[in-house]
Amino acid sequence: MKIKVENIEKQIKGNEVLKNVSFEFESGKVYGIYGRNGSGKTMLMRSILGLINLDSGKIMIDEDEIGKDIDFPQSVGAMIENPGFFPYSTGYENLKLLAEIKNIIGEQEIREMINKVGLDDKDKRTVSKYSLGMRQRLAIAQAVMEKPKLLVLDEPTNALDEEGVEMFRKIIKEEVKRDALIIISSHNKEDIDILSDVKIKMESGKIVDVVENDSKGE
Amino acid sequence: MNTKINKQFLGRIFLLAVMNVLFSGYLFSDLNSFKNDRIIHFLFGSISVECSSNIILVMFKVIPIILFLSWVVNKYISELKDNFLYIFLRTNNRELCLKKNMVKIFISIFLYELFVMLIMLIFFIAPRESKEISVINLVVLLIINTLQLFMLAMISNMLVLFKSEVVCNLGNIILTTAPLVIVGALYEERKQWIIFAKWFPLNLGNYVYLNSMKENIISILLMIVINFVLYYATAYRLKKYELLE
Repeated sequence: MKIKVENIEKQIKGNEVLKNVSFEFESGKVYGIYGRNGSGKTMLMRSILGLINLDSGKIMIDEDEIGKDIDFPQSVGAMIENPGFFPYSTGYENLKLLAEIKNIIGEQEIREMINKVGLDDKDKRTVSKYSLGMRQRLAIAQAVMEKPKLLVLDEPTNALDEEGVEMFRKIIKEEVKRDALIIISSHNKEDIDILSDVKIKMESGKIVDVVENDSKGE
Repeated sequence: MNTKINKQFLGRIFLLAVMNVLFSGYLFSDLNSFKNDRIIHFLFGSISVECSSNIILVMFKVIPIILFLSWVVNKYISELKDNFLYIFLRTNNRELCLKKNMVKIFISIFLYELFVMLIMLIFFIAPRESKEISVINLVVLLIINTLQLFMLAMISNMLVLFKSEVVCNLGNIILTTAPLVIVGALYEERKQWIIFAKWFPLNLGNYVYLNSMKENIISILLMIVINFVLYYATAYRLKKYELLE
């Protein structure tokens, strides 16, 4: 998979949130986007996911243009802040509901994924009773469970405890091994340093620095 | 995303149907003096034009509907909204989610109206000596009620989807109450204009019911057209919707 971001621009209420951003992403690598609040990290991720309409420029997912040929990338797992979910269903029921849309994984895979992120697949509590950290774990599970070609994760470790962060890093390493393209944004510099092959710094809606991370995992 | 209605929502739908019949039964406490078809009209249909000028009676009639819109219909769309990211990215297009949600809402509304009809028949018609009823009228009422509530639900959905739940609840109150109050006011103040009430799409049928089959059919067709327009307006808006928050 290859993602080509070409000169994209976006204004929201008069503020330029993305200014002529161009970049290329390819499979088998982890791209870590960092920068201050309001630097455009989340907007760039949302653009790649097809969640916002661009003012100019285009985003190509292989041969397809987002918003023209396709509404969204065809094989993608994502989490973008404040995980939602169906509050009156259990964690397992939530993932089952979502998995039924594509119908490419079964009960066994869903249960394994729930346990993998440190939750209990037999937990009878509804998601409304979950802590933020538990929701975050469930959000990671839903993003990864169908083994998508593209993973877009915005602040994935925000509400996780130390053990949760370790679990997340382990999952990302496994996803890279199966050649997924992973884009992560984080305030946590350590996450970016440990996980990313390429570090992208954003400032005021622009990419200001791109560094190959030779010290990955150290 | 499936169109299955879970037990919790089924329970809510049933409770609200019971509430609807109880409220209507309370409104028309002297039911024994009426013929079966009038009882069906009162309990399953709507309040008469004459009663529309009484705000208390109007409130009794619209409260179960407002609650149904807030506790059932809007919750479906709120769940969709909360899960936009997860659901949308798993489908090839956004409209598919909307379609499935609309089917779920339609089924819920149909079930609600069916429950109201069955409760009314079991508790108010079955115990009577004469059980003679017009099945055609009953079916027409079921269709009109379902389409009318679906029309309200579509507007309500648009409000939840693109505005806030507070705006939506306020909208629901206005949409359900205002047409009845206006019909009541016309009846009180401008009787010669009351004829226009029958073309009021959201008047909860208080003028249309059981007048003539021709009017019923026109009313049904009109509501089908309006429902389609509302659906496509929502689909268009959804296509342009940006997930910014």
